[in-house]
Amino acid sequence: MFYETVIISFIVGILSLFAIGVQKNNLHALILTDLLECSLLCIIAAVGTDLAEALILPGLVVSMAEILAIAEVLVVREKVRGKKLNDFKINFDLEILRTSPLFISIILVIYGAILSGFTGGAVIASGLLYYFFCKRVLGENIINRVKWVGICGFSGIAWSLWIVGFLGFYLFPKYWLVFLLFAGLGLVIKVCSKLGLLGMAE
Amino acid sequence: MISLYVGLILLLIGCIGALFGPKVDNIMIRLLNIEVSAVGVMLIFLSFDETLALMTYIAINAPLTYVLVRTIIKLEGKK
Repeated sequence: MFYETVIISFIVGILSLFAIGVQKNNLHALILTDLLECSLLCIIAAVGTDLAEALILPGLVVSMAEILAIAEVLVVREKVRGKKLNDFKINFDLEILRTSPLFISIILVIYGAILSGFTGGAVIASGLLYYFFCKRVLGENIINRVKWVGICGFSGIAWSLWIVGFLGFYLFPKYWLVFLLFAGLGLVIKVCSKLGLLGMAE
Repeated sequence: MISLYVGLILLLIGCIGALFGPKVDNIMIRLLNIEVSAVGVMLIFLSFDETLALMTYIAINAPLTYVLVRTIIKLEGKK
């Protein structure tokens, strides 16, 4: 079980690294980085212990953050060079885009709140993103209604709640359950609000 | 056990498809090939009983695809 996974992941990783080295186009190289990330996650997952599972989460966060940053750098670089970029505006009218978003996003938000922690935050964020995209595709302007800076500040407060919960583990180990709930609540609010901001990207 | 082998095969096929497959010069086709590998990764997580990692990977994969598609549309949309 362990050896097959590690061997195939190494084959995939080495092939994709080779392809990134040969590639001339930056956008193709960025997408192949996603493939490299898959093989790295499989190598960690092959260990199969709880610690390995806990190590996958920061790996996911870091890979997502770096793909976001590099994608934004590529876009901004083309802007600085003075090239005209295509508009990210899609307009089409489907029945499902009008009826489904409220229901699906509410279910995802409730499920994410039950999960809590980083996982729950990501689930809630995907629900929020689905809602925002459906509204935007239908042509409703949702960006002006939601204040960007306000969500950032809210996320910062939630992050400090997470820090308080984490400190509480060491200062008052007797009440660990309370501080565990603090940390889980802070992290879920922080991750969902930060990832949800993606829905307002121009 | 069978989910592990299906996952490994999907991972390998997605990688080969993304690197040497037909029409990979079109970047959307390359992205769709990589999604096959992503499903393979999910099956591998499932077979090692890593629920938390599986849930997070599924939830993260949706915004990630959105970010990549947005970049593709902005940089080389109408050509």
